[in-house]
Amino acid sequence: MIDNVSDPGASIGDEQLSWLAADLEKQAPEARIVVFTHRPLFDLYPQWDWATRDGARALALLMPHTNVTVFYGHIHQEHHQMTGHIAHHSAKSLIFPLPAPGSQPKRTPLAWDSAQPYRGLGFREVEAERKNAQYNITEFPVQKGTS
Amino acid sequence: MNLSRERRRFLIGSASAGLCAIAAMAGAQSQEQVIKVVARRFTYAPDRILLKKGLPVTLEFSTLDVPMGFNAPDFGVRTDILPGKVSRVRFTPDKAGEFSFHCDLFCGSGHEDMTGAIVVT
Repeated sequence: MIDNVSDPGASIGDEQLSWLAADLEKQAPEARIVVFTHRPLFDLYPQWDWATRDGARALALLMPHTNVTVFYGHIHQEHHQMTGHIAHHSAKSLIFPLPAPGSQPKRTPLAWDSAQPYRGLGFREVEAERKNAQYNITEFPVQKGTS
Repeated sequence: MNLSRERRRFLIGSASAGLCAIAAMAGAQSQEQVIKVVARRFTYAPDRILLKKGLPVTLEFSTLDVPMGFNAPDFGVRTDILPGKVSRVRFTPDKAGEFSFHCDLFCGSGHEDMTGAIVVT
């Protein structure tokens, strides 16, 4: 869990980044790492402040790990993006929907429509399943003259 | 001092060139705009800043109440705006159009609406 919303300037801060670095050091490079955060760690749309001021530092720490998924919120809509091999997923909100990045001059919520009262609202369920066993196969041909 | 005609002409020419260069620099400096922007919850005054492409500008910020931010991502400039202090950003608009800026330091309910526009012609 990375807190990038408690700070008024939307920074993660040195203390959390140090903790993250120390925690990641204990993990194998191929370990499955799931990160929860509020704002996008990448520059989704800085014109609407849809970014984290020092998010690039967190992503730099995560990059050596090959199996990283980030779930975040803040933008009140479904969005999926890759930064390198790191997957970022945001989900809908239950309160109000926000516009697609840059689709209107201001980031004001989409107007409520009585004809479609639940438009743009929702939530996400994530199920994690272990991958099936992988088989390493070695073939042995019969050879004459060996005992 | 007995200077040759050629040498005198060279010195006069150099001095003239130097004066022209100083005058040009002074001209460029006098062209630079300084615009004062006053922030308060949850507005900037002015909230539309009119600039000329290629002309350097310094924006001078102050806040009448709480700490604020100024962030104009299209020009790569930001600053905190703290009570009792003047904060400055200097940049040269390199493109024409209308570009948004916003407060990036949470300042209360209404923070999300604290925005403005830089208009470059």
